[in-house]
Amino acid sequence: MIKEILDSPIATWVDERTHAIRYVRYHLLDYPTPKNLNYWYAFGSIAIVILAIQILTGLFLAMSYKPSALLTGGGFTEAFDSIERIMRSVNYGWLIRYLHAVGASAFFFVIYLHMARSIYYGSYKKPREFLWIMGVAIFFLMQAAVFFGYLLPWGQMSFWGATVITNIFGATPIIGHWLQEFVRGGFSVGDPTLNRFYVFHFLAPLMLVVAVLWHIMALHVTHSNNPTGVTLKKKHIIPFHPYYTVKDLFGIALFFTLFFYFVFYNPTGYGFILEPDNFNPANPLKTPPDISPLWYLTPWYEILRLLPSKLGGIAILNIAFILLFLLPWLDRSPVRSARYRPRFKMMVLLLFSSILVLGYCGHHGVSPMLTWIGRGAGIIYFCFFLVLPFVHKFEPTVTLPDGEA
Amino acid sequence: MFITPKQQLYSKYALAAALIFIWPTMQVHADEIALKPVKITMDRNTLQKGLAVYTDICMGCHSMRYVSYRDLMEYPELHISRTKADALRGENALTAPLKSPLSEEDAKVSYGIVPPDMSVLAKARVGGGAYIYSIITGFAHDPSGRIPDGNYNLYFPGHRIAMNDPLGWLDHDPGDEKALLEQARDVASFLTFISDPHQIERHNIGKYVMGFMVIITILLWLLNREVWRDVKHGLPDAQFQGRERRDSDIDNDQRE
Amino acid sequence: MSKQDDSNACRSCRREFLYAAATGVGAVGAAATAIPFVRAMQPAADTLAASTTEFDVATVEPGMIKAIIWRGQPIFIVHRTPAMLKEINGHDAMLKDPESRAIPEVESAWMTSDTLRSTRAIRPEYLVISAVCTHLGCIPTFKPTPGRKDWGDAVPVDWPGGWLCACHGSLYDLSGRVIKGSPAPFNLHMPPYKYIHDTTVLIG
Repeated sequence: MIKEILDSPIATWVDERTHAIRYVRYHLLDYPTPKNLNYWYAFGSIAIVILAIQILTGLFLAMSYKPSALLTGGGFTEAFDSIERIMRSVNYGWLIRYLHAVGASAFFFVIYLHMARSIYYGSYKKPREFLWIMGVAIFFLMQAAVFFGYLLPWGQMSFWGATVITNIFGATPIIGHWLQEFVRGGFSVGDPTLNRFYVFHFLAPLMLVVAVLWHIMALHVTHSNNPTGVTLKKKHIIPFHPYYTVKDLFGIALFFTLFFYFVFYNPTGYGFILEPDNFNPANPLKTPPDISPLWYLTPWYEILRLLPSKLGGIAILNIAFILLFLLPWLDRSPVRSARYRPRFKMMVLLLFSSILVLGYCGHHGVSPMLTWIGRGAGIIYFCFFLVLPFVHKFEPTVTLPDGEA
Repeated sequence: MFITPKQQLYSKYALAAALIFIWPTMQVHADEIALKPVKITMDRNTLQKGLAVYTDICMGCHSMRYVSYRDLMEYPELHISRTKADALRGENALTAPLKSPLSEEDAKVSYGIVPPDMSVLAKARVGGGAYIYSIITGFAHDPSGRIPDGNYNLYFPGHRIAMNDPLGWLDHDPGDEKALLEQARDVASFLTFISDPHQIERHNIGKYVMGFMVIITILLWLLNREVWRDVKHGLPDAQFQGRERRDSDIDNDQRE
Repeated sequence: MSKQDDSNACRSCRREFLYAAATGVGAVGAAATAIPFVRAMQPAADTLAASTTEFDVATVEPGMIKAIIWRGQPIFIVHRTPAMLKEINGHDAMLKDPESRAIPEVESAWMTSDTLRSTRAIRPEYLVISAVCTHLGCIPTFKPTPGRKDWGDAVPVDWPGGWLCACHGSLYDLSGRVIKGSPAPFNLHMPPYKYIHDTTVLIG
């Protein structure tokens, strides 16, 4: 049926004038793909679907949301009230908001797996450095989007989360104080902050769409890596459609079965998707006993508080992020996939578990034991990048068939 | 996967290291107070009884800014009659929220704090309905005698609660225990319901959505299997030096 | 050889079937997805709940007009004097729809007699009428006195008193009935209302 549509006179007419049809044909149908991609490669497509859902539900939420910290009595604000109105009075408002909230967590879940796959199979290595950089940029844009978005309900965690993170700007040498007031639009997080964060939250998906397009452009020049990490010969290349359209759709359906389970039966995700304390209206006079971000930001939050110094924490967090960007150049191995790099594989697994442990520690409050466990995990995280440039010297020799590297 | 036994050992070390690493972190935070278990039910009878407990007792201090008298009539799970709504609202408009007669200023004078609004309370507390149930049936005598009776609560963080034993749980007659527990359960159910009034509808729609997702997932799985029949297996594989390839290596590499 | 062909044909038809089934089920899902989003743009429960307005018509002085808001749109309440009530009759020939029958929005169940159809009010002295011109939604200006004495040539010579819509010159008489030659197609709409107390109306 797709073939008939694309061959129709109207499609031909459009194509002669815009090349739109040949774009579709090349990038969605005939696009050459290795035949040995496993289900880990479906997360990219899943992430695009989630981004679309976030934009759609976000637009509909914006139709009823009011970015205003104006008090309406009892400590409640117009922003908080408007969200409860969405949950109670707007037709299917509850569904749209839960889709958006679960979608945020699902987006990070999928992106973490997508990145893990990329690291494991060495997909960041030459010639895919730009693809990787764009991917990390998308990841940062997502972090910005959730940070701005989390302030909007104007609950306790919204308010104190934004207060804590904007305080970080205050640690910048010399201009810190000025920068903090500049970001907040005032001396503390308040109505001006909420208004601009709403604008930034709205801006984030626009930038995300551009970044994702660039990510895909880079992919379609260098083409997909595969689990062997070897550049495959032509006989192992198959068209994207129908093999990966169908396979990805199956992956999407499978993932969204899980997704909808959370939306309809467990939308707060045991407090991991929507925190209980954020259903309390923001109270500038009372800090919650335990401020931690949602699960997907906790590893980075833990790195932030690894060192007993404000500036030090911010410095190592920045280093942790910069190291992610530098990954393609830190890894000097001629082999890509961890399949054929046993020592690298061990390091990668340690890296993944250190991030999990950092996340665990970041989720929980401060205790001496957790602080030390977190520091251990932090050391492993940084050691990964430190050892990476040399590890290939200790790998067993391997002969890679069917390609140059 | 194609690796030598020695290398297999490496990955096992890695996994073991990860586990040893994660295990002690699981042991932290066992000191949180366990709440009383309670069966939250959302049948109309329970919810209406819970509403009555709320309007008779809780509403003396706690408002519900997001719930109107009209909502009580219109939520199908609750569905109180117009007569009942009129009796409850008195002079208030039908669209007015359920507001406690206790003003914020008076509450500050009497209790030192403003009693929290109850519309989203069940979602704002860890444990939800079980938390509310535990609190209102958690009044006790302070073993150390420092906190006066009526302000000591086993389940409240720090144990000192401003709310005065609403159900008369402290030193209750053992014969009343069943009735008190039922009142507590009813109001906990009602507050859980009202914190997310579309949850029953959500669960009902969820059944269709999940059914749909299972069907389309199965269809796509069959289609996927069917489409991939065309693709001949046989893939390149790397070779570690000094070791012959085994046939099984190839099979393991091919997921499709 | 032929056996293999059969089996290939069967494969192909099985595939066709699965394609069709998945596409069909997917289309149903996409259509169902649209429902909550369309519904979300319709008026919310609290908006619908606030769809009635109460008003004490006795607060309008004789001969005066007051505009109130009902469902976000203005409603005119006119306290018509006996003199004004007299002006309502006798110019049926000028009107497009003197009996308010053209569309359901201009009439009401209580318009059971010719008198009620010309006064267009449950109690003739209190006219409760939509203030939205049926042409393009402007709000007409009240020009109650007959003739050109007070209004100049903005109104016709035989002006019976009523409203002039400044946007495009539509004219209505003191019962909100549209005068021939106006761009407006219909009489001013009649909101649903009833008296719940002596002088209190419930609109909606």
